[in-house]
Amino acid sequence: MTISDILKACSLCPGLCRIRCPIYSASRDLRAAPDRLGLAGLYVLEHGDNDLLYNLELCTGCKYCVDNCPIKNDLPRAIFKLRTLIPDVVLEEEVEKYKKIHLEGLYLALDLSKLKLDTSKLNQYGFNILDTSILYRLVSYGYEITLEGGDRILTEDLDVFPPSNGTIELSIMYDWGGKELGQYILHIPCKAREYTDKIIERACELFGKPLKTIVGCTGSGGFVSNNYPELSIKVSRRLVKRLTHPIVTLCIHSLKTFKSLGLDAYTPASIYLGEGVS
Amino acid sequence: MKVKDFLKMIRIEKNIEAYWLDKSRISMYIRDYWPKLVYGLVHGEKAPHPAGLIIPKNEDEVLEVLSLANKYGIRVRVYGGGSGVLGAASPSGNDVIVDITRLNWIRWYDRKSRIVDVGAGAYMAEVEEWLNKQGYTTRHYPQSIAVATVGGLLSTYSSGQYSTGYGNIEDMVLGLNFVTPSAGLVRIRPSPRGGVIPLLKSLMLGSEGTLGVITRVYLGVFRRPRRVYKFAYLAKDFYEAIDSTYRVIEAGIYPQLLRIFDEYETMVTLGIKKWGSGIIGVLEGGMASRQNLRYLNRVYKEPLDESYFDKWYRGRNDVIKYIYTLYKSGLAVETIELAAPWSKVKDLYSDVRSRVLEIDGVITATAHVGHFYNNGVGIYFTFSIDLGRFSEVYPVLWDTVEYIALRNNCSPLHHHGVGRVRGRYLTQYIGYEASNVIRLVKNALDPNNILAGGLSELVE
Repeated sequence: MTISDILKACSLCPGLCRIRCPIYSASRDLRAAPDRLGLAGLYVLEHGDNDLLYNLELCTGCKYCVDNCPIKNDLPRAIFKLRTLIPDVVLEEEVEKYKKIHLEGLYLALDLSKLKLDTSKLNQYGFNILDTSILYRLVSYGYEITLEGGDRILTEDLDVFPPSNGTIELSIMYDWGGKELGQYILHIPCKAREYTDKIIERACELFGKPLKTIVGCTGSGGFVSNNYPELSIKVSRRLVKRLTHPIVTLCIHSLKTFKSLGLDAYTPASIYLGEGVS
Repeated sequence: MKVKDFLKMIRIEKNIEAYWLDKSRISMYIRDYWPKLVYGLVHGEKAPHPAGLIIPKNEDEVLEVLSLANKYGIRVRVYGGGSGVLGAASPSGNDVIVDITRLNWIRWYDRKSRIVDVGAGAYMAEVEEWLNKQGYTTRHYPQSIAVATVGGLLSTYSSGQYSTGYGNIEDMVLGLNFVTPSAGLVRIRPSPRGGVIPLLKSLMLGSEGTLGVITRVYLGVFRRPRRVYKFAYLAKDFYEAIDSTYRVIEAGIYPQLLRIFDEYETMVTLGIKKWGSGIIGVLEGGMASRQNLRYLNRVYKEPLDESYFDKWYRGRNDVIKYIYTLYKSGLAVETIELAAPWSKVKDLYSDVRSRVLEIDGVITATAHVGHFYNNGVGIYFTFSIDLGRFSEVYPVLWDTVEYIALRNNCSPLHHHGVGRVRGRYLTQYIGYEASNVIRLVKNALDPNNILAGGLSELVE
């Protein structure tokens, strides 16, 4: 399907997936409803209506809409493509530099703007750090990144490196050595939901059995946590409800949102390389 | 007062979320699910934008907004899920949209008595999921369940796929709160029955935002049934299916869900290759007895595998699959539902089909019956229309179908409401005096005529 076809299909739909969209469901902001995003996208694409361009920032790319669509219409793909039209002068300079990334060895990909690391511990684990803070912006603006070199990447930035790519693994799959956490909540982010069973198994091995596992989008991907932090907080609050236990998440972007809810939150890397578990 | 000044006052003085310049928000309310606008907008046609947007977050804010709109003569249009197919929620020119979807609480009012307290802006699918987790159900399953709010379903007089056994929305509403410009916030506490209460409730049921704004609904719900018998049969033709079903209903057997498809929908919807009329349904709870099933076997004669029911059930709300497939082939879809007494339903079906297919630009006309009552049925027609000629064919199609209904003494509507399309047909059906009653009620509840909605054509 072309981008135009995807947008038309959503515009013709009453919004059957609307309440499955974590952003719309938590915020009741009609701009985020997938059917209206389709309409907005169509107006941007076919009529150059740039008043609606920034509505496209309200998609995290979690693809719950696709899962719940009778025709499996990949709206996030169309939205991310159209986001290249959002002007950002600084970004344009970065695009060429980061479009192709050459890697050698084992990497841990995470957003360093969202996590303070104790770099002295890096050698112990034998990998390089790939800072995704700029890549994350590129991907959010709809640019595609090409990797060169067939080496393994462990990731905590699932927006930039979706784990469906064969050479990419979630950071929890690494043999960190284990650490008993006591009572904790395991958060499996939307973009890793197809690996739920595998993640729970690994979490049990590394940290002990979680008190509870929650699977879902925290509304922190794409532009949402940066440009609409109040929305991310609403979405996350719905997800964690009244839980107050420490959370281990596999999504570096959710980490920041959980923390802004006042929760103790960690990623596997932050447990071993970061500020540790309090 | 100018609309802009009114919205500024709402936002700044009253601290209620309101927008007047933000096109990225306001233009999202450009349509509900009225096909005339849906197809038009996809093809780049223009439609009127609302003049502003207000998003109240509780009943007090709705009351405040309506009181001030009444005082300053600002026209407002209530917007829920936007799933209405007749344009009642689509804005016209100077309307200010009042989006009620933040009134979305769902909680027990009285669990023992199976009564839930629901905000009018909660989606019906959310209510159903919340109940299902606890072993309860509304059994109110309109095709739009995922995208229709509870308030919207009340205001369009909705019906669902389980209507034959569980009744329609009016049978579930035990109480409600609503705001009218003249009476303020009206609170009707839930009750199984009682005196003047139905009169008050019925003011809002089917009023399509024209008489007041529904803010809270008390729904009577059910335990999820343990015993369920699914069934599927094939009749020789649609007429035989109607006659057989008449016998079933006459015998006092009301399958909770019952649907009969004409020969064309039998092929397309159920995927049955053999020519005939498909009948599917379920018997639940006390109705699910061997004796009732034996009676169905005797009346309907040719049983089919119950997987036909499952297949329909799984895809029953996937409307976009059908719409998009036809769209890719250059066809638009329109649906019209009518209510017919048993004595007229076969004539109505044959008249509509034969006359509509004579209209240049209408490609197919099919039907199913999904709502059965002791005295008649709700029949649902689906038409496919040449997309290039949609705007020209649309009014002719509606005139043709509705006048056939009127000529056959059938009701020109069943559960989609009146909207922008049906006012004149309904006026003819109910007559001048009855229309005048609605006008008098409108004048009493909304003397300054600030509420724009589906009955506007009827009352103005």
